[in-house]
Amino acid sequence: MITNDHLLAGPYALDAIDGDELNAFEDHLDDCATCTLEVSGFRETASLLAQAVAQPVPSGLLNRVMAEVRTTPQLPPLPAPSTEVTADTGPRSLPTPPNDVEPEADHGHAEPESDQPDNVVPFRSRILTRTPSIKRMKEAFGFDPKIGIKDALRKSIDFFVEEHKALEKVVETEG
Amino acid sequence: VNANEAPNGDPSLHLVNPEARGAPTEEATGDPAALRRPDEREQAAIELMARVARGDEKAFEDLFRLFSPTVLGIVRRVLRDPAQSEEVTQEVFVEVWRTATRFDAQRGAVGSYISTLAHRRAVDRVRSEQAHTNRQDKVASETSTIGLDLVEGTVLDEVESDLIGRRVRSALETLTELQREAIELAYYRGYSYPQVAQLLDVPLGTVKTRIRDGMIRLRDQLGVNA
Repeated sequence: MITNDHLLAGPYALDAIDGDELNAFEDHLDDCATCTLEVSGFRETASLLAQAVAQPVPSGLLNRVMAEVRTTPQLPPLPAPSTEVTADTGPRSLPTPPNDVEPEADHGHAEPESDQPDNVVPFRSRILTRTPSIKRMKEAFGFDPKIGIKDALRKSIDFFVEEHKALEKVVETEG
Repeated sequence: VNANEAPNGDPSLHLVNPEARGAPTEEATGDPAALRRPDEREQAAIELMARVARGDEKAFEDLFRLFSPTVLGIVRRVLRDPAQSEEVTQEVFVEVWRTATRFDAQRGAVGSYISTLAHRRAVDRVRSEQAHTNRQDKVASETSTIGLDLVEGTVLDEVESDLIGRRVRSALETLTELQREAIELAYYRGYSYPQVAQLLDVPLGTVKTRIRDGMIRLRDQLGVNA
């Protein structure tokens, strides 16, 4: 069962899993960067499937939406990153924002967080709030990379290229 | 790690070829690069979301104009009932309004976020409504009963969505029949994969893998960076 989990990335991205299996797969996603990435690509693909069936929208709909929006408060922005390693423990109450809080547009630095009640952000968008974080690694294990990701990638690639060349030489000399 | 980091390069990739307007036959199977998410449009959508997050209703209207045809389209595919579809579309956009403060562009495209929300809502509605009767009765009435008073999109949008439509259809044609049917039943009809398995009379495991294989193929055909 566990080894087959990754097969569910397809059905999951199309909202075709329910119940226990859905929960199990979402747990699996917590630990599986490959599936997380795959799901994100599938979702983007699915959004093209949706665009392909786009249709004209009656203007009355815009008016109704705007009418509702005018009376609907927006959620406060996500709280600052906390160091607490939170698990998805189901609905919790949101901190009540003071009335004068202005929602901030700067959500670029929000850490993955999970204290959103299920009714706040649709639970399926959990996947959208999942980001690998070096900061967390640092807090949890003291892992503190000294090399930027670009340099690191370049070095890794060079390493593999060199290794590959070396292997080819071995093959040549052996052959 | 970030599926979103489309290269910011050559903007010409993203422009609709003017010749494409009159010539629907030619470029439908062209290179997938033209279908890649247009960066400038995504950038504009991200900026709209940021303004919406600050409570800008005008920006929200623009966002609605940009994405409501897709939302209504997919919701309607799944639900079929026009009135319910509009209701769900409204719910989706009110949700976008509420949660815009928490949208993070690092984690996915705006359009992907909104259509994920839309599809999920539609599917939830269908599955909670175990009264399938409602839906089955509506199957025949799929042709538009929508009034003439339409929200106007730009010509470019229409051309572009047309273009996407054609590319998606031709990408779907490259799938095996089982892959295509399974994906269409799941996505456009809102069935769960066990229901798909039942309808296609194939084992569960087969459906699981066919959906995934088909999605991989579609993704690659459509040039989605993942």
